[in-house]
Amino acid sequence: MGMKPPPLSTERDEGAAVTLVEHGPPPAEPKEIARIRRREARQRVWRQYRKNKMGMAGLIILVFFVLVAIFAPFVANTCGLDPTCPSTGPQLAGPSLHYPFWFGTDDLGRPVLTLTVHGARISLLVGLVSTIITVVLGTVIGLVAGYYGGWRETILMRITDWFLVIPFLPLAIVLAALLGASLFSIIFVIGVTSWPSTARIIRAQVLSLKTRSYVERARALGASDWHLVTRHILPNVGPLVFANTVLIVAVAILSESTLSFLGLGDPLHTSWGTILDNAFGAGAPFAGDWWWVLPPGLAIVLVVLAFTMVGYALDDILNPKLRAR
Amino acid sequence: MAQGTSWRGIRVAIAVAAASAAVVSGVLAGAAFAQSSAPAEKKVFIYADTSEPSSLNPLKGYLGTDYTIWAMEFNLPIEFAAADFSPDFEHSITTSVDVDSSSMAFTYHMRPGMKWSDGEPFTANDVAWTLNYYVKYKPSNYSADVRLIDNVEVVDDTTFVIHATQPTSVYSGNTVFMYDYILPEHIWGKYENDYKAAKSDPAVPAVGSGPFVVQSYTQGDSVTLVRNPNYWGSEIGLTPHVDEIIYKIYNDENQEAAALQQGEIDFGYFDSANILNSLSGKPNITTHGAEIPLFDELAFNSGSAFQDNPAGGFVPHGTGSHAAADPAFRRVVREAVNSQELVDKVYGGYAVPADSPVQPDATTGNWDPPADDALPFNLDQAKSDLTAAGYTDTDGDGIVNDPVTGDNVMLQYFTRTSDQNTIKTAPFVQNWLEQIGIGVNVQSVSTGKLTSIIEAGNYDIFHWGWYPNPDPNYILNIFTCEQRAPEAGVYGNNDSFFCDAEYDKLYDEQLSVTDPAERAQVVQQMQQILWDQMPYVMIAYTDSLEAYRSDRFTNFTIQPGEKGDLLATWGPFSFISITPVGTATGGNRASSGVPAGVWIAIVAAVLIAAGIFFAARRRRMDEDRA
Amino acid sequence: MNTRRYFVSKLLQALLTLAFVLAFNFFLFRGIGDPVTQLLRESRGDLSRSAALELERELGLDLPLPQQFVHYVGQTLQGHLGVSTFYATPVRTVIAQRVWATVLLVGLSTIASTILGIWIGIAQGWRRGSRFDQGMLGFTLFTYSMPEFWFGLLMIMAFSVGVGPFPAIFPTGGYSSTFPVYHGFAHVTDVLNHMLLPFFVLTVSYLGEYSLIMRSSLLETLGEDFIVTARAKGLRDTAVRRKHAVPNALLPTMTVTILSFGFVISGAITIETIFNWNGLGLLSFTAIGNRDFPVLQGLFLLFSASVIVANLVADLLYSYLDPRVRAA
Repeated sequence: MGMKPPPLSTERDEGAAVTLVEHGPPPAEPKEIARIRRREARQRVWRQYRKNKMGMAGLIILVFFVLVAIFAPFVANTCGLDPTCPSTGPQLAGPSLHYPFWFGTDDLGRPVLTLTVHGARISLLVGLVSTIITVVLGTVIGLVAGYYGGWRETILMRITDWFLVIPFLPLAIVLAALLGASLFSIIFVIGVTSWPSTARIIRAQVLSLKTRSYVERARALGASDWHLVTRHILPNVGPLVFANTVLIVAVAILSESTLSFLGLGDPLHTSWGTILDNAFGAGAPFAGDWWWVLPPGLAIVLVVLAFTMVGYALDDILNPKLRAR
Repeated sequence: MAQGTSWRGIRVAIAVAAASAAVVSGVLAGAAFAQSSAPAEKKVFIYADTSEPSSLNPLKGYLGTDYTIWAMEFNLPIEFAAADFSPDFEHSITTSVDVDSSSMAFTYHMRPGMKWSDGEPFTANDVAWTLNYYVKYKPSNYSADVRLIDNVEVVDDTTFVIHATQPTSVYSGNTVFMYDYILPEHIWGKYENDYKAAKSDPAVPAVGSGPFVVQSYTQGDSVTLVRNPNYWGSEIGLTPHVDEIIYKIYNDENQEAAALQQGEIDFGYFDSANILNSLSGKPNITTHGAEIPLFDELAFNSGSAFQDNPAGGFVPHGTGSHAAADPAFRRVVREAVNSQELVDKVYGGYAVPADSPVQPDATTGNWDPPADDALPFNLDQAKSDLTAAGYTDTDGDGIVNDPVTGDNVMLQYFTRTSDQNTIKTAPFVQNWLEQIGIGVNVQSVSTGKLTSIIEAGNYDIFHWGWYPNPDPNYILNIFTCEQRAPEAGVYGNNDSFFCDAEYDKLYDEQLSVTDPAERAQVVQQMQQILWDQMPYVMIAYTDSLEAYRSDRFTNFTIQPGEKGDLLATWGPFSFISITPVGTATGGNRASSGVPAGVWIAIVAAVLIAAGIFFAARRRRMDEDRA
Repeated sequence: MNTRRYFVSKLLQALLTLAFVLAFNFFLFRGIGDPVTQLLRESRGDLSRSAALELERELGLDLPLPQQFVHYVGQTLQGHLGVSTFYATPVRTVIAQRVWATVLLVGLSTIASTILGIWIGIAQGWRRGSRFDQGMLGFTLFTYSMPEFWFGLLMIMAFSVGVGPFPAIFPTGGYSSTFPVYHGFAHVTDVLNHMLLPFFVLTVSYLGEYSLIMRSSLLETLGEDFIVTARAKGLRDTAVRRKHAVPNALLPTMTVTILSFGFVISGAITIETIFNWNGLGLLSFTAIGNRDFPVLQGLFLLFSASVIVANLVADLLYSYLDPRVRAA
């Protein structure tokens, strides 16, 4: 299926429109005032976000996994990743009450808990970094196309359309095979294959912003392109980009798990996808080693779910287009 | 958009469609039930693996999978005996060989009255044509075997003479040297002057002389072989007990194992010890770890990349470290690698620690390292030998320094992403070597990438394996100087860049000595050189993992010996001897009654149809009330 | 812009995209590397160096790159997709043998998940905030977040292997039984039996996307002025929904649906892999392992072409149903 997460409308308060930057004629101390307004806007957003149950649930899950990833060595001894580590258990043992064997062991006697905890680091890292590539590429292309228009737009949007028709997963697989199995290549592959939908969204938004009166006024007053883009367009595209970014992380983490499961990940760095790939390759499904398959998969589902929920909540608050009936 | 709509119409249509789908599938299920209960009379044996044939054409394919199928279709001039790979004249198309006093002419006497599967006579003409064709075009599968053949001459329908280019023992019939399938001239003769066309022949359906011939091949799915009605072996008691053999291709072992458990297949080859272990606990399934010629090694960039070839034509290249090029250093690594632990933990016990690339069941030249120089696993001994070889930690950073370059010894170690065992082995080896002060940097790359790294000489160690022929000639050949990759980007079999003048001399000698016992001695001397120089640190002879339905088939012929491959894939013997147990026929495979999936589909379809129907009705009532 | 000019311009755009795909295809696969060396090494010596050179010539790899490109484009335009390096069979045949399996499995799953997804989405959107809506929202978000191969593995463990208390009631992958070979109706049930588990996995995995889109699209429509007007006119809820809200909300969902039919043919790689389903998804994955780039090129062309066609159909249909689009 496509790379663009489906839209969603969630519960919201009445009249929830939030504008991050308000635009009137330039006041006496424009920078100072703009800063204060932005801070106020951020506080307003947070107040609204706190009331969004789904968003808060997602945020709590996310914070949990981020903490686990950051403190992974303290949660589960790094030594457990090394099959020669003296603290490994028996091979393919089922779950037990003894820490760190709560989730049992893999075929080299490594605790699945340790693998899953440390896998969080790689999965989140790949998800975040490849999203940054996607967002930067997509934003720049969408911005340039939308802002300048003309031949730049024609060419850029044509290329965007071209990339949209090439099936994502086959292309990603070919690229990953071409670049070899490393963290860098998997990040690169996800980053360069998923920007087109972002570029399209950004362009549409820029097109509508461009015709707003305050932008035209600023242009008439002789503002440079750079000033217009950085002061007027970007701050207003920002919220959209932000909500979109959070949703893209979800998709990127799913993509990482799929590519790693197909054996295209870096086998020397444990991610949730590579754990599943190893389990599959070692016959865990047939042998019934469910404890080796469930934890990494559930971790993927929870993190992707959390990013999706946070993304939708943000989208709801920052880009109110839908009206409650 | 038009506001008036037929959404209700759509819904009714869906309901009708779903209901009719349910009815239709019910009818179909009934029909299936009626048909699957009719007994199938054919006796079929289905074996499976996760490897697709590379080609069914004996001039083109190169995988073990292909060889297994050819073994059923075609004959070698002399077959490998099931027990020990020795020449088996009793069950070959050749009954005896006379050696000329010059040791340059070999007269083969064939069994009379043999026929091909299409009824044409199978005579010395076919053998001579095939071997001469191989001499002429040197197909990669056979060129090494016919290397010393000048020409093959037909004397009469059952006699042909091999004329060699030099005195040799290899064609004398005391060992199976020619692993060369004999093709029917009346089919392949049309390619006499067009080798390229011969190679692109799909060879399906095939005409062969073995007990079974390929009838059809569905890519990615299966190969079907049917019994050869004219098989010559039936005259001497080699009568198959099944009518059809199917090779089923799986993409993944979990599915293959489940298929064996459910009885969809009768026999499966596996790679995962975990799967084999869990299969062994299931009812009606027998598992077997077959000891066959198959090994895994740690290969070194042994340094000839930096020397000039005495024979010329080799340009030194690559970035291999100085330490890996030092035989003393490589022998220290041998002492620091615990093959037994790797066998237990990585290979799941389905392997035997190994010392020599020539496997113990090779047809000649079995060799063991001398007792006083066996280099057993001993990290303390390794550490002191490393110091004795001049490698000490001069800068105190915990990693030894090279006595010549003064640099830290950091080995570039490559594993293959397509082989889990190589990836699992790496942390063990890394840990042992680091304990004696050798740094290791592990990288995992695809098979293709590693190929180019090896050709370029840009590595210190990699983990790979070989599947040698029963005769040691093949595996010994890869350590000769001329097999080295001459430059980056050009392939060479000699992946350790090993080059030793004495070794090369012995290699030629083992081909040309006329006394078999003498050849065995030369082969042993060559293995001693490999042990002294250690281009490969051998890890293990790895088992082929096999499991079959013991409630369905029995009477497998194992090759070699008692512990070998159940399907004896170097010849057709096991496929001939396997016997269905009791009334086991292909018909039993069909589960009785309507399959569960169909029931569930019907129930689901009915439920959905009913749900939609009632929903539609309720809404209509809502509307009526309005 | 009138209808005909709109049609022609869309068609030209589609052709241009196809041309790009053709070029992209060629250069991408030349970048993968030399398939010949790969074969050599994997055969561990069973393929000689001279045989390799011969193979290289057969594949035209000894020609300069521009010449190879011209050759490739010419051949493709004539409908020759080349010969598979691995199977030594024309790419067209290799693809044709497997296309049916993919269309059957992925196509049916897409149809089922769209129908179910749209239905669930409408029910949710209409009774927004109800227990049904919240429960379904949780469920569809969960299935949307789930890697489909993981769900597939769990289903295989439960119903194909029979781990723990679960019954092993489904055959283990593949399109049909190996033996006996069924014909006619029995063949249909046999295939159905093999297909049910992967069909279920795919349908559940795809479901979320459609229901989420349908739900939000319906909610958006419900906020529109004409709905307010319709209510003001005193129309009953059901009438408002059936005659005004749902038909308008279906429009964007339909576009997504048509587009996803364009992706049907590229298969479900992971699901085809774990269920041993011999379709185009599995083929594209194994072809990479085999470095079979004529097959990959053919597949990419086919995949992209089907997406391009689906795009075109969606555009034209949209412009027919919503004439405002043509003016834009």
